[in-house]
Amino acid sequence: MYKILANTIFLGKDIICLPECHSTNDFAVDLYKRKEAKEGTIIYTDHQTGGRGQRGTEWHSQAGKNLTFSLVLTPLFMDATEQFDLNIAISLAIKDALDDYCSGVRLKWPNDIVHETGYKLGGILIENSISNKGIESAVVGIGLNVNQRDFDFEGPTSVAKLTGSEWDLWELFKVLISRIEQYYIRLKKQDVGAMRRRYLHHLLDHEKWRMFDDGKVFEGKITGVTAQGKLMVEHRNKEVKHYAFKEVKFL
Amino acid sequence: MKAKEIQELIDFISNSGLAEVKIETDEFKLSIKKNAEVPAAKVTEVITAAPQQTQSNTPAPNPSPAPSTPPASKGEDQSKYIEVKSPMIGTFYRTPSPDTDAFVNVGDTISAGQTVCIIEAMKLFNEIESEISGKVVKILVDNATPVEYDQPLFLVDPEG
Repeated sequence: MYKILANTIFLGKDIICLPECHSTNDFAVDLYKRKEAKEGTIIYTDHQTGGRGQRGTEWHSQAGKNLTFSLVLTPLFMDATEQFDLNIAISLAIKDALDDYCSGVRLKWPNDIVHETGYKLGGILIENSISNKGIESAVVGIGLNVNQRDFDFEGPTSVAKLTGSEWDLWELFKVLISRIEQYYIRLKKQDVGAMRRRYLHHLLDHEKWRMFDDGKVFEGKITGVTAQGKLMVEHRNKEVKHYAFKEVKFL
Repeated sequence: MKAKEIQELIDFISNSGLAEVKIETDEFKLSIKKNAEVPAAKVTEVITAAPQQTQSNTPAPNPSPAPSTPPASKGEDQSKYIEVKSPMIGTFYRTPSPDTDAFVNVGDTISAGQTVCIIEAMKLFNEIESEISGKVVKILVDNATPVEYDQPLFLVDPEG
């Protein structure tokens, strides 16, 4: 089934809706490689059966309850070393869209959307293709818990759980896409300074003392994120260390 | 000057008839010399006086030298080989996902534009395309280990 969004300039002018899909990211990557997808193409599914988080970890989603989709972008204007800015732009777009529905939405470094209580609302998985010209393509996968109320394990929450009522998925999807497009256009205009500040402002536990583990358990506070996306954590002895993903754990 | 701009400059020069180019501004000095045996240009000197950099908004190329290439194996002439380098800091993966075959193995013939590995940085996954065609002579980095910006990943024989 094909759908077209009316409230955008280029994003979602070509939407492929699938009743079931193993992974919308894989589908989008394949499509792009076969030159059947272009900037703005979206793959949307009611039921993602093999969604991925970090290499290997699975994303559990009940059929028809949540939003799972991937969009294709061709951000050749971005340098490969600046790619975290794309993650920031997408994160902020999702946060802005969800703010219309519930309060307390925060961003968790590096790519999660959470409630201020720490429960996870969704995640972003970006897969780029890099050539000597820069970022040839970026497939942005987004999974958001909207109407699912029961989860197999402790950790996730949903918009329905937080607000007490169910929501129209397609309406939320339209708001999301239009916000993502706005942020992507800002990115294209190199308006990244304000975005990076805004990302920090909404980052979970920014400037708050909490426990971390970097091989040793320590008390620290997040003071910022580097241009490459590394987390800056200040230790009690005033030393600020930069961590890549997996080099530090939140306890 | 961004890494990408330097890259574009090198591409431009290597495709031109020029043997050597020197550019100097207030901010940097760049000297590029083309080696007759190696098709790709070689940057001999990069950014002597780095521009004012701030942590927050200048993801400039790492001015410190990347870890050097491993020593040449005995008696073998490696000067004709070309390196595929990492365009970013991250973790190097040879496979598309944990339980699948490697993108490329030693002895494989690759073509320009072919995906040779994934570099993961802050949970962003990057399929890296080779800029050159040839035979993979050596894989210089172990799977799932960290790599620096510009670190050589593969050694490719363009005549292979």
